[in-house]
Amino acid sequence: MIIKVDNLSKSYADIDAVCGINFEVSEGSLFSFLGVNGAGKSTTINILTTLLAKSGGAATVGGYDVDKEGGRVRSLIGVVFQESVLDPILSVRENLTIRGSLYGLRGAKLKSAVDNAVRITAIEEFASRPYGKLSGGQRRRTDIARALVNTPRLLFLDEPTTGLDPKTRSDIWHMIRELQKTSGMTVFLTTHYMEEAAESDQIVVIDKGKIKANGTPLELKTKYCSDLLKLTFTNGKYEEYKLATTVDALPIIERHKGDIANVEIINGTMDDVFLNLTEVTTHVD
Amino acid sequence: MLIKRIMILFFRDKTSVFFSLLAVLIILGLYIMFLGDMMEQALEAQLGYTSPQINIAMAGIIMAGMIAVTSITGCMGALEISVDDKKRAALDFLTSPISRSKITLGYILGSAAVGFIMTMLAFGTYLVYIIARGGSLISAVDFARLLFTVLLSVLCGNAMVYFLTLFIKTQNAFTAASTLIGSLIGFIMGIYIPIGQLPNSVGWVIKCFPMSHAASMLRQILVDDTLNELFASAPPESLTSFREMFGVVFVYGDFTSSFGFSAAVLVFTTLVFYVLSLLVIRAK
Repeated sequence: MIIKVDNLSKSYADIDAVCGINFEVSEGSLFSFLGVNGAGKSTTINILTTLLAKSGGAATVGGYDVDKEGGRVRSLIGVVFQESVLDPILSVRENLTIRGSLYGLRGAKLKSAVDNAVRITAIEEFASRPYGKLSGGQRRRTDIARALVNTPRLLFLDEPTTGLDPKTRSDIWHMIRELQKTSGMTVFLTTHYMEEAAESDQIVVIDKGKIKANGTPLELKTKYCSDLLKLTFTNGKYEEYKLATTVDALPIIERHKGDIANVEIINGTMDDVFLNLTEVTTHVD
Repeated sequence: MLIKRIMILFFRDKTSVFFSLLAVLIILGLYIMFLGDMMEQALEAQLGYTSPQINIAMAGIIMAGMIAVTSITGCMGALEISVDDKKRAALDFLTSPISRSKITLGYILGSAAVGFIMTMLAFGTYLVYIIARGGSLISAVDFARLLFTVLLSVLCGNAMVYFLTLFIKTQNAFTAASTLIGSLIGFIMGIYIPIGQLPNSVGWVIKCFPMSHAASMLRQILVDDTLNELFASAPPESLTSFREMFGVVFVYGDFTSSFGFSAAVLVFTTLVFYVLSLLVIRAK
């Protein structure tokens, strides 16, 4: 387990942002952390990346306590922030070199670390252009290259594909997936796109500072949403059946076999899981 | 590397370089347009004769102030980056294994390096002007004294501005503060109007502002030789009162500041503000 969170809580002056959450992330997995804005996602990430001190409970990354052994934690992780943290007037390569030096890398080692990050993220083409002049997708790739410069064991991505066009979004997503598969690096991400979460190994849904669900996408789908059977009959009548499992459709279809004009089975999606678990009315930006 | 970052970010951004030099350009403009003539006439009247050396001496007196001001405005321009970083790059630094004290040191040394370069640039401007007017280069010993003074002055300005940036959270607030400082600094350091022509109370403000001592030290380096020549045949009291009037030295009751005293004021102020900054950072 690369991350262990035990009864973690964080309260600010008048609100409890995170109230006693528990979860674990296994090494090498792709982990999705879901929740509406204000659910406690950012607070949790900020605690795990040592930006915020926790109020209670325990949290370790790579076996190190995030509060007491922050320095050790920081050398294991790479973070892609929601908003850009690189310098717009410096070139991509200058940015990577300066940020790489924050890990104590110097000279030839630093150069090869930068080259490596550039190669993995395929940003060679615009590596000498100023970061501020890049397109959204190019910037995101550069942000990821930045987070990879110290070859972290654990990569945090806070909404890595938000604000990108669908094509770029899918490119970035595939790159992340590929990285995680080939390098064995653990990826911890937050996202708003359910189809992305559906591809991860483990999902935790958080709402109002509490964990609402924890499991594989399949487990969550089975537990928190149902398939829908839609039948249109030869006499024009139309009926819907909620199904606990997809095969439950068979006896129903069997029963009406002679009268059916059209059969449609809609599988539950991660969107349904998410909507069922979180109160949409609390959505605030 | 963080020091280099500050320097690249500062010098590549032409507007920040320009605004750091704005105070210099204003002083230079005022001097060329009317301050110079006014002050030269005052000196001529006191001496009772005219000489090209008068022009050289007055340029030195005003531009010593200009050089001292740059050690503040130069650092200020570079430290703007540290304020700007609070919203963005700081997150990245804080999630990296580099120690927080190294980050702080990066800002201080980086902005001091920028301040030093900008201040030497202001000194270069002075040299060009003086030579164009038929003056001579300063001696090697004086140049060493000048480097020493500029170094102290930059560190002192840096310590004060760095302390200030600890309380500023947004870039807008920083811009407002630096505009205010940029416009007031010329008065507080007694550059626009000679200290002797100001009411006593205002004079005390100038004398008590530590950075004024950088200007005073620079004036001693740049113009004392010329003044000694000009006043060679005049009664010694007139040189003494001239040096007091134009802020070459500061007089506190019976005590007159010396080069060493002023240097000590700068060192002391630098230490006080760095220690205060350290305490503020610790408290946070």
